[in-house]
Amino acid sequence: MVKIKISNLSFNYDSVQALKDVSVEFREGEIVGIIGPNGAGKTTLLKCIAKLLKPHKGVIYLNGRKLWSISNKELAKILAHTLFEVPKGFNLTVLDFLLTSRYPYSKGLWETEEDLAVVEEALTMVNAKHLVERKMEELSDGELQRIIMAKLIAHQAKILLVDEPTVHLDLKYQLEVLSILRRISKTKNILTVMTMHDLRLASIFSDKLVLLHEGKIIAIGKPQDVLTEENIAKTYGVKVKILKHPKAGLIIIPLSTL
Amino acid sequence: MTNNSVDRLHVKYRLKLKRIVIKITLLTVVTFSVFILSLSVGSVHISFIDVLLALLSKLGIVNYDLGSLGKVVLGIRFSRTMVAILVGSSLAVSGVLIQTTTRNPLAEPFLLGLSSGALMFLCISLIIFPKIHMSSAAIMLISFAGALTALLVTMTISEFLGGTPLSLILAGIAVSAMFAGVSQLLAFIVQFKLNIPFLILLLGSFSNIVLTHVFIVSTSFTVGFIIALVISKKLNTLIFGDEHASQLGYNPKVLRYIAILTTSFLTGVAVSVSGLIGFIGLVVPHISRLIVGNDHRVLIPSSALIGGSLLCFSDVIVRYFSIQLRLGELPVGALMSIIGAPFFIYLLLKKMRG
Repeated sequence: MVKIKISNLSFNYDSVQALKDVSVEFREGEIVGIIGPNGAGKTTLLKCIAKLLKPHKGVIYLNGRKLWSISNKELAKILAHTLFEVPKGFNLTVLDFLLTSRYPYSKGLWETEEDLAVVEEALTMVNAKHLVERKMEELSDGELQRIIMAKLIAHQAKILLVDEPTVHLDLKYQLEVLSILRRISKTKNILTVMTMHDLRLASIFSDKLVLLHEGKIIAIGKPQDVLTEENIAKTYGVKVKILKHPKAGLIIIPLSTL
Repeated sequence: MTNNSVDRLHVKYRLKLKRIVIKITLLTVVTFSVFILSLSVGSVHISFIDVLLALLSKLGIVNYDLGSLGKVVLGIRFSRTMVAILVGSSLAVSGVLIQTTTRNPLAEPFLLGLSSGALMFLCISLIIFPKIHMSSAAIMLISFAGALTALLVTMTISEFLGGTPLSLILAGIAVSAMFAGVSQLLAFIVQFKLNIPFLILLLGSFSNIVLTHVFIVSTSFTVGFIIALVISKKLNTLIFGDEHASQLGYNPKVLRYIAILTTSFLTGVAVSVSGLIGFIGLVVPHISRLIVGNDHRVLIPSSALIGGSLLCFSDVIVRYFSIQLRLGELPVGALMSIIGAPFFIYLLLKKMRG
């Protein structure tokens, strides 16, 4: 069982308030899309849940326990995120990267046969086995996103925090990556929280949307309830027309800026 | 799913590890060969066979008498050879640690000012308390403090310059130049007022090595190397960023402090016996990555072996030409700069273009 409860969370970068009084609950099996205009606090919220930023006010509970009372070691087996960098000039390979996702489970100095089997299965699931020896810095954006998905799978966590999974991707790869994410969330009953820019994709692939604006939650709920013409005008400052399509979900047509 | 077992990841991985074991064994053989070569070459030539027999008789395996001159020469050369290997290994391991913690392939203890920082602290301390020259522990502690101070100054300035990979290098070069300048002035005072041979340290040389130095550097290398090995697996996560290391259960800040302290200790003590030797900490980790890859669990030992044999071999070359050209002692630090600086330029070009 996995449950995250955030109550009255506030976070400041120096004097700038990035999150104000955010309260929300997520549970297992859910795919939650965090949306909102640039600077709304999407990634800050993700980092707070990942225990990377310590909130100035409010508490985050993970299964009833305070997040900051859980050790990094223990949290490593529960929670995985996609915030990392690939420094240039080291020729780091895909395998170098993926093997680290098994470290929370390893007891000895070296990887076991099981660790490698898990990594191999993850690569097979995202159809990227041929990339295993490649250098991370030479991957295309689409290939890199698939490796990130493989990393999330190999990590075997119960909570996935995914930052902008579709940014820089072509249409085909956008759908591919989100389908992979949906498949792992649903088959393994995992809680997925992702930040999204693309509102239409967010509406199709999320069970629940959280709309942030200037650090505050404007709306929470099913995509069709959150993505209303009124909410979008209020947060994005754009006048839109929303049509409902039986298969493609919500179609948002931007008309003019306000 | 494929049925071909050779295609399975764990099979491939085991094969890769086996190859790495072979490579590290070969590197050990190379290091030992350079060790024998270094004992053999000099103004009094001792043949490889004699060197080997003398070593074996020291271990009590055979009974062989090299003669009194041979014994004295071998004794002096042994100290010099051991120090060259240990200093090379220390600087190479420092290079790996500092490159990984700063995630900067251009980082290197000499370029970041650690070496000149250590030397400056040594000069100042010797001028104020000449007696500490007698205490190995004091020398180690002071050079460690000097290297650490320089690194912290460099990192602080780099933060103000925006914290980019290039700002770290620029800050390092500035700090290095300043501390080296002060060291150059103070080294004259140490040399001529206190009669301690210190000017040669500005150039980097193994010409004044005695047995005490072997004890000093072997202590620092053993301590530093063990710490580096202990954190080696965790460094595999730190290279992908603090956030990545943290989600895998490690504390990136603590990890970075340990690496910085270890680097400063290894480099500082190495400088206190051999002076300013640059670029080995830059070149060796890159060669080592080409040979064994990026896994720090094997990168660190292989860098130690390559660093040791490279610096010792350079010292052999320097010694050989010093005798042939009758020029007294040429500094090995100069040779390392001649080899290392073009490599640095190559890395810079790659960085600026990429």
